[in-house]
Amino acid sequence: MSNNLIRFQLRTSENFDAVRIGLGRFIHVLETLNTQIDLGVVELVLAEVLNNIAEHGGRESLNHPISLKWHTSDVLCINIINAGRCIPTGTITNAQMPNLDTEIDNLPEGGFGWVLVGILCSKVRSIRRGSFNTLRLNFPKK
Amino acid sequence: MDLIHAQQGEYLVVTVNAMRIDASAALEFKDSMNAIDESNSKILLNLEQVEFIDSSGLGAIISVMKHMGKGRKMDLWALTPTVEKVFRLTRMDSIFSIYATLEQAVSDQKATG
Repeated sequence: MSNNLIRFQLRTSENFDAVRIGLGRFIHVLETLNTQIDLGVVELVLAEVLNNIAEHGGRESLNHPISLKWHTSDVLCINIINAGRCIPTGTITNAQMPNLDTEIDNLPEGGFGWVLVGILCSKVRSIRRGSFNTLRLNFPKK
Repeated sequence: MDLIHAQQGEYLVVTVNAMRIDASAALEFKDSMNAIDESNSKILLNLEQVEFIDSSGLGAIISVMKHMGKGRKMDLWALTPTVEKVFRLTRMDSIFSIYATLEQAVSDQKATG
């Protein structure tokens, strides 16, 4: 088992460039390890979570860095720790696929993010401690 | 965003010259695509260089298709494995025509007229 940490800071809300750079650093580190995990899946799931924090985390999320802590055992377990608004576990586990049985003009342009996270993670758990949130995501080995 | 255009049969092939269509690039992608000449009724979006797409990028592609309006359409070509997974898991592969090769896409247009 190994324990690791990467931190990065959102400077403004909707700071998606910072998410891209922080996520790139994180995936680069995982690439150097033999995790036996589909890192394309990890990158997609973390992009959805981190973009949500950037978009909806509120002002508090700008006051503290986002921490990504992970360890590997029989799964890859990633803890995303941030200040700001909490993402309840049920938001992800109960997410429903948007209705696609409609005219093209009415197709949804959003609502897919949490569905993807719920499908791709073997376990999701959200914990609130004080003003900090921990979203714990497990990824199965290939 | 850097988009390269080339006419191939009935298609205007638009190659995305970028590795990511993510939240950081989604708005730029939409603006660049929506600026394409509306006289092209069929667009084939070449995604062979795009290694990563998130739900924001997916939403941007859907938005572009909706913006094209009735009588025009956009098909997709050369999805990389991670991009293909996003389309499959969101069932967007049932909305878009997706081709592995340019030859398949062009011949399919001839067959369907």
